[in-house]
Amino acid sequence: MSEETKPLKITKIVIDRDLCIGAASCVVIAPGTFQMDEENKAYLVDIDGHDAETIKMAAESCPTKAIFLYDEDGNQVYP
Amino acid sequence: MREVEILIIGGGAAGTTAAETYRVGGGQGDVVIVSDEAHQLYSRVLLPHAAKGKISPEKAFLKNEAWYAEKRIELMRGRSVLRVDYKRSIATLDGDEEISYKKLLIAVGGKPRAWQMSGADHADVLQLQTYEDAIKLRERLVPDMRMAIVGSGFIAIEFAAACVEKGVKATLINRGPHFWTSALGEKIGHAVQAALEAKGVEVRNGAKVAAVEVEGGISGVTLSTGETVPCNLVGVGIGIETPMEPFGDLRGTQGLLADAYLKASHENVWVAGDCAEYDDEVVGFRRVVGNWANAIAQGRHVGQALLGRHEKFVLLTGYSTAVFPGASLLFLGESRMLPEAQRYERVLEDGKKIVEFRTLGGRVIGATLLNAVDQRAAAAALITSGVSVAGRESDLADPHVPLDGF
Repeated sequence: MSEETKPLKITKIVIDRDLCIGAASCVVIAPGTFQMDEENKAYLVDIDGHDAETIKMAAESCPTKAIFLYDEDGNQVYP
Repeated sequence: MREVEILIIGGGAAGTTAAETYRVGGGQGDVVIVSDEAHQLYSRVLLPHAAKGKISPEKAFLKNEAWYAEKRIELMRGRSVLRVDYKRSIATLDGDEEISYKKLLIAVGGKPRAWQMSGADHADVLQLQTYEDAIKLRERLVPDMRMAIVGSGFIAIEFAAACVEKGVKATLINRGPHFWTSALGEKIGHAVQAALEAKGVEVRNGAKVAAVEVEGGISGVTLSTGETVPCNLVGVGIGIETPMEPFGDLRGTQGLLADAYLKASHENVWVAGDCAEYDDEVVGFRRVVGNWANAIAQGRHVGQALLGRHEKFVLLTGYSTAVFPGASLLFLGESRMLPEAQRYERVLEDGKKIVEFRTLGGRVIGATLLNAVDQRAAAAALITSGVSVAGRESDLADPHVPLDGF
């Protein structure tokens, strides 16, 4: 955390449905933000469902890197 | 002797998630992960894609060096733990290095079962579990090669799909009477086999390898019938097992024993991930669960336990695999066919969709869905509710009886 004094803020989440295989680890970590739909794909429930750190952990847990996070300046934070 | 607050044996999804959860949750103690792999955390789920050449192998990495440094998690790579002295709280690593811990998490995952076969040590007898395995498969899968695949489970399917992708002719050799006998009933087993055959994979059921023929390179595998299947690569996917040796009296039937809290019988020791044989209150018995979401969830659970939370781990997870587009499998709950369990197969839409239920003691403990992810919620509810289906088991196979009617 050298120069990152500004707390992380996630303003956009994109889930790539082609990459998503329904492992559901994002739901395990951040169920208030991610849930599984009828096709067993993750979808966004509420971007404010968890703090940014938890949402980032959820995205990083995805075994196919299907969750893309962007900060308030529109920069891709993950992956 | 080195002394650490938290020692984690295993650098996979469970171990790494536990370390991360502890640190992000405010844990200040030093955290050391000992991993027998040479790499930071990577996604085993992406290995088949890397082997097929669909992504570069580096894409499989989920964490980089900077992440470990930032989280103050030390990763000791390429090191193995020889034994643990629980009374003295000391783990002994290769080279007889001792590390004493305040708290220990064992999350060693599984290792591919050794194939007891003459010729099995040949360099072209391949596995698909590690990063190195994927790289090797990627290099060796070139047109004009022929592969014999031994086994009929998840890894055998991945080998077959990789062969199809790379134009390599594959013959799958399965000991069981139908495809993936240890997990699937006949109906889904036949459907998965048909999906493989439609892509040009030859499937031999009830067949057993007697020898790998080696003359410099591999020239074929000979079956117990005497027939030789020509090939120059062999892919082995006959299951995984838990490395028990270093962990003394935690040895269970399939994994390392833990209670419903993922707590081992020794003070300050937890077990998580694919190696944990824990009291699963979702299905009502002790078992090992080997899937990605479970490893993440159990790692997270123990990470919170390391911060002082005391709660049972109660969660239904599943895993899915797309054999090929148009043939998807989703496993929920207990995926193995236990000897004492019963199986009920529900055929929907003229066989396009099949849902298989496994019951034990009058309750549903597992379900497998072929092309039927829309049934996931209903099937999961049958398992998690623990509702009794005693006396009505045959209704599980009747597509006219709604699943929410139990």
